[in-house]
Amino acid sequence: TKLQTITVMSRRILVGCKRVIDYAVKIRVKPDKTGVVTDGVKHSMNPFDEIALEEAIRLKEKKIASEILVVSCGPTQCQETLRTALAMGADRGIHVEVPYPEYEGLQPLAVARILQRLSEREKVDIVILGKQAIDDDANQTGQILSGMLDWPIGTFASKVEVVEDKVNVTREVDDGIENIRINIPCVITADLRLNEPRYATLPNIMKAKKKKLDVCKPGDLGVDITPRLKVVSVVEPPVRQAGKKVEDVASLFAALKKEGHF
Amino acid sequence: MNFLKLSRFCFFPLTSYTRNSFRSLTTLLCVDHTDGRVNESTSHTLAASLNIGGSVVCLVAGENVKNVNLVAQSISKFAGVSEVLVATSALYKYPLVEPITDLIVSLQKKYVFSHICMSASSFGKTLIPRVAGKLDVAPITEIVGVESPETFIRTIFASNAISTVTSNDFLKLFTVRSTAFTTAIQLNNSAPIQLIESVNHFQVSEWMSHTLSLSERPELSSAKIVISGGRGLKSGENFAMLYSLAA
Repeated sequence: TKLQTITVMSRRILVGCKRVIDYAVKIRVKPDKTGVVTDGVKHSMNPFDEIALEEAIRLKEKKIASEILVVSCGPTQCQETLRTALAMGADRGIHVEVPYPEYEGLQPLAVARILQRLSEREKVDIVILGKQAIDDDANQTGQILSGMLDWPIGTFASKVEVVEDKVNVTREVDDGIENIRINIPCVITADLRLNEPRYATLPNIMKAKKKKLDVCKPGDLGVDITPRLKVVSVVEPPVRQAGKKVEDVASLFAALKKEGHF
Repeated sequence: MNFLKLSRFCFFPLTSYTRNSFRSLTTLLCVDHTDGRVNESTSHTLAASLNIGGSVVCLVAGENVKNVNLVAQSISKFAGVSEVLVATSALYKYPLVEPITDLIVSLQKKYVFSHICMSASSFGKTLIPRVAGKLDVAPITEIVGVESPETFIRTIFASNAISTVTSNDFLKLFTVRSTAFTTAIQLNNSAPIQLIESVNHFQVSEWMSHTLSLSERPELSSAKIVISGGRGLKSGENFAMLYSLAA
């Protein structure tokens, strides 16, 4: 009889889930120019983080990963974000508690340091993050983390394929698509086209209530979250000038020429 | 004499300036280049760097000696460039961030730049924050304005708000949104070109292939004219009007 060997890779994946103002909300800049209004505004999981999590879940379904750990840094409400992640299919959640007003000063460098300590402590093999958060649009955390851990990185991933101890990452770059192969352990940041995230079903939402959600503080991980960048002001962009309508293409050229555009 | 060495001997009058003012400002600009040509994004990034007010040192890293030298010659002509550092190695053949991170970290130890920047190209956006992680510095990404050597302007919430931030870190690491700055000018400058050693790097990444999205149209960030359509066009068929206008 033929002996069938089934190799189950026990990779552990860490996924960061940031709670951000919902993408559909029209944001309002505070009159005192200190920031954007967040009180009473609808929040949800950063869309790129949902995509990152979906990819991790698919890797688990393919038996490439055995455990998905989700992490969120911020006030108590982050636990709702983690519960959603657990309902989608993550195994364990860690809430790194940063209450207001300190949370307003929490920046990617500090978050990356927190994720570094957790990745080391939990013996993580692959970190998958969203490419950027839709609030600060920083596009930094994954890259900073890969520098801190000295791991390779595949940013703007539109396809992820694990082959033995490496990952083939297809990336969306300025002039097209690039394919790289990086060693595990590694960091990957998810771009829009990587996948379409699933909705958490009601049975899974109920099951998620029993999953483990640990709470800790940045200090427990030896991380100083003092902000390095000071926000001097947050203002609205200059008011858009009203457009002008023209009858046809010839009039368009004439108008552009008159205004000295060419 | 090497300008960098000269600048350390500059005398600053004793006043109540902050610590930052006592250091001379030198920005390391990592050049985006393709096939022996300086990418347009680099020219705009140079313009942004000149706004900082210090000297600008350009880094050109690559594998093909001929191409790298062409790029170095070209960038050395730009006004405001004080020196060009050239690193040629098989390590820098492909646009992989890991080997270049080690190179920049080593250069920072040697030269102690006040600023390090690159354009917000796919490569720059990946490289600069990774260097920041190694050096424990908060990067400032996709700046659209420079207010001072410490203060930068960037957009947030998909450009629905504009944020001005100040960094008190010893080193400022930033990427530049090219479209927000004019181009730097090539004049009769001829900055000295210095060959530097590549830095040992244990390979953890491999470049496999690249598929260019072929289009007769220019790439978005380097296009001179951009036209777009939206709901006003009312239907998919009407988008043909845009294509005929673009032609």
